[in-house]
Amino acid sequence: MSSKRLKNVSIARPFVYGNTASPLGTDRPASASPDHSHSWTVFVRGPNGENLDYFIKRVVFRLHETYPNSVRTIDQPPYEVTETGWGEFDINIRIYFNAVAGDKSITLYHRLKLHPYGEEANKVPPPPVVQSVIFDEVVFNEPTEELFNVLTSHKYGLPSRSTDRSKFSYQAENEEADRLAAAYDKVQAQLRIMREKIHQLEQRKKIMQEQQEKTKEDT
Amino acid sequence: MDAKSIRDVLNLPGKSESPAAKRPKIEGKKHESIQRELYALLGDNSAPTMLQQPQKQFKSRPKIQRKPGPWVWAPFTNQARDDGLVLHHWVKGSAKEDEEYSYVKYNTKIEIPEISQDAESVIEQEGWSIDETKKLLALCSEYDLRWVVIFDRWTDEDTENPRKIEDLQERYYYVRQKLLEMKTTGSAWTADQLSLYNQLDYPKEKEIARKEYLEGLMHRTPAEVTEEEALLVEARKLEAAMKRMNEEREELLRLLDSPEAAGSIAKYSTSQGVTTLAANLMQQGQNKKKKVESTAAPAAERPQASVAFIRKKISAREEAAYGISWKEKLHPGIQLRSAKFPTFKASVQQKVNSILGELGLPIRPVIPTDRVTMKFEQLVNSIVMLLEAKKAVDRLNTEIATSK
Amino acid sequence: MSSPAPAVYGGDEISAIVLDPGSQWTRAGFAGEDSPKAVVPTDYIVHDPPFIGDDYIHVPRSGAEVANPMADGFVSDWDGAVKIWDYAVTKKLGVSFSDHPLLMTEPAWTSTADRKKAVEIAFEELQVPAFYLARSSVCACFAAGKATALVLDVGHKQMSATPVYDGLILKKSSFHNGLGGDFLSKQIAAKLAAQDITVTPYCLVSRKAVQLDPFQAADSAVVKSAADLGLTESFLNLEKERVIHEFKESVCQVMEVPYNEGGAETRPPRPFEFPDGYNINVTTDRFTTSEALFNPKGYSAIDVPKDTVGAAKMVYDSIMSCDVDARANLAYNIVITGGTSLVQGFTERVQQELFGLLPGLKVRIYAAGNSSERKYGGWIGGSVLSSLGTFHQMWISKKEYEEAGSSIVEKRCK
Repeated sequence: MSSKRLKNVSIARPFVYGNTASPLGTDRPASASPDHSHSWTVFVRGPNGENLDYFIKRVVFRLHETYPNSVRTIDQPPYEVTETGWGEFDINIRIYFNAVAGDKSITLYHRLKLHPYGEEANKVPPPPVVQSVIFDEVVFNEPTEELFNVLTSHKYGLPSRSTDRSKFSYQAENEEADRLAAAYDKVQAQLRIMREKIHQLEQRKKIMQEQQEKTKEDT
Repeated sequence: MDAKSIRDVLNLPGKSESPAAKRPKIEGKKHESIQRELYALLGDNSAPTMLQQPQKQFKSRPKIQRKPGPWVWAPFTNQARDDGLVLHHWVKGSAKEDEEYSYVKYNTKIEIPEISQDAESVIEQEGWSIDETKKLLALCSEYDLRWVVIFDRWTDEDTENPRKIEDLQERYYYVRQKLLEMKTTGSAWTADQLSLYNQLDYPKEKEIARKEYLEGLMHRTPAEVTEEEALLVEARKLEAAMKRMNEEREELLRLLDSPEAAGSIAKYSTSQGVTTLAANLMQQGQNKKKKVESTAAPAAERPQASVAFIRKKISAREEAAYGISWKEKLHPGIQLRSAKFPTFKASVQQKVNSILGELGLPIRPVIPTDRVTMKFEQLVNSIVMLLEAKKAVDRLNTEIATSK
Repeated sequence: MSSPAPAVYGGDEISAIVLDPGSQWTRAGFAGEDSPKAVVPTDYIVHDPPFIGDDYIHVPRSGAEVANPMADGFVSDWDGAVKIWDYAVTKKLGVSFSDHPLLMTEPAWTSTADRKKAVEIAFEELQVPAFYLARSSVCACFAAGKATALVLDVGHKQMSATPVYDGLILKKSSFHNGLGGDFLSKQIAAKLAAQDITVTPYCLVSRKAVQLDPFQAADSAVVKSAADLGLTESFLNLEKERVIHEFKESVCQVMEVPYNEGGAETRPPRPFEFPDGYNINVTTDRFTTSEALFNPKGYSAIDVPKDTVGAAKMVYDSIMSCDVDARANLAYNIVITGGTSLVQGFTERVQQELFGLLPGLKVRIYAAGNSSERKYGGWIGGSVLSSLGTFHQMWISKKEYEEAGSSIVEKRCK
């Protein structure tokens, strides 16, 4: 198979990353020091839970320096790190793609969330598991034919409907697209109004300027 | 006995006559100048009655809320003494018996170890007898390891070789180290003991050299001092210059190194080569322009090669399933969808975000697929256009207002 | 008025008596106060009972001899000294020795025998309940609010430079010589004698001469004859010393730079009137006299021992004889105390000289501006020391003395 680049083609692969966290109850793991309040898991996975290792070689999570071995390299799925702690900090996630994809890597960061916020914070009792999950896509531009074949041999799919566990579904996507379209229409409407106004004002300005020149001439 | 008979006896003049005579006289006093009635109006002509001055408000005595507490000349003992000397001091309120004297806690002493019998062999050192060592340790304990004073109070046994202060210090630290060793032989050393042992290392030669150096420093003349300072200033300037030069060098190297040449650059190293390079680059630039124009036209057409390849594999529907999309102007590489959200400079971005908020949308789409991203891009761009239009409206309004 | 909490200023007054015996003045008072209530001249008239105190000794009495119990900065005649201290404490302060702990000052060079004798006298004769012998340099240092300093004490009979390190004196680096107020007085007496000026004490002047011109002979004064009054030489000297003391205080000055004739001549002269009405204008002599404090070889009008050094040089010697590490701290904290240091220009000159002698060190001089603090520096430090809460463990009690004997002083009074 040739490694010709397919021009003007881009393939997108969605994935999901983030963390779950739950307060430590009575069953504490041995390694937790007494001031750790939560146990959390930071992860990178497919939106439907599918395996991503056909294009991901490894994922490197950089935790806060105070953790021993704060650089965690995960070579096999599931790409996740489970730890205990008390603080929320930025975790740097570097996804290394495999040779087929050209051995590139991308970096993103995720803020570890332990405590409920927003409307969740007001719930009593507080929710048992706190989640902070982001949906994103890896976009492969002008992939090689080889990469193309690899990617196309793995189906992917979002769940068609949203559930509590996976909020990222086709349904949600459609809803979002619809929302955006609606907003776009609104903005366009506003824009039309504005443009009208501009036109009017410019007319007025022109008239006024003519008048002023006239009065200047008269004096 | 009546008054009259007494008067007769005492030959006193009659009393009744004169006042009686006087009284009508006074009352019937004739006033030549003014009428009697008028005089009566004037009044008695007695002294004017004193005006009641308002009682001057002096500051009233402060009201004492409580009785002053008694101060007692109380005896006390000092627990740091062992002879039971009783001193006295003024204490407010009652004297509490046998309270610990508050200054006892300041009676701290540095722990100086004693030399026991079996320790004597361990701490042997040339030139130091046990008695001398004991004397030294006693002085150390008494003066709390203030070496200057210990040295001042030291009496040499052997006046031929007076000991220097460094000798005394050396001997003391040697003894301490050896005693510590003796205490911890057999069992393992704890971290504290180890650190203490290391701290007890007294580098005599270094201390002597340091002190000599310090003396030399002290004896510098003022001229030397100014010279030194001038040299320091110069040295600092040189350092700063060197740092700057290094930074510039780094910059240059970075610039030079960054684009790595694909082929050999040998053919471009001559001046002729450089001109050919320039010409090539110009051509490439123009080619690019042409390419863009040409690909814009057959936008509807997909590049043949890729099309063919892909059509082989999958159908259109599956295309969507695999997230394939066709774009113009692609650079090879891998990116995150979220990296491709349109961004603007901070002030604009803020306004855009607030408008998104008004529309009830998050700043970043929740599910950024291709379709959603495109729509988002469209939306944000239109918002920006709206903002610009608003600005234009405001500008025109102000212009009209000012020109009125 | 509430006093700060004891924990803040660390004081706990036990009403001790502080006694600072000097060659010219004996200072006594209560601990915790800022100046001694009893300042008694150390000179006394030998008599039974002896005449002690400013109000008594200057009365001219036939055959009265003056005695001074001090020598070389410390007591030599213990009987006489005890009499003076008794007067100071019982008559002037109005208390009894046996009711109060006693803190006494001593110079840095006292012998063990001296100190033992002091302890003996304190417990056996004065019957104090507790006693301590403090070094006057340490006290002067504390009065200046420092624990480490180099103390230059210029007193009546001697001048001393003593380093104090963390409240303890460095004996081997302490120097003293006989250049003090008395030295200045003797020089003045010699110079006046050389110019044929007789010093007539106040007690012998019946009527002052009225002079319209300076340097006019004052033989129009009516002077009593000393022989007629039966006044002894020691008494006359005492009285003459008063006149010369006045002369010294009002006229003497130290030049800020090493003495040079030209500079001194440009300075304005100071007039002085003697008790008999004789007036003089003092010109360069007023500088050369005090210059001898800095350069005894060059300018002293009287003989001085061979190896006598000047004030600044003595400070320098003292600092240099200390360990290198301590020198910077000492030079940065130089305390000048003592009555004779009040000579105009003294402290500035010391600073000037030390800058030149110690170029590598930062020199800072602390000299109390108040004349009372300068004169009573030793006493004030003793007052501070004996009113500290943490000091009260250091007293030698009667019981300890009875058990251990007078040698306890060497152990306790470091």
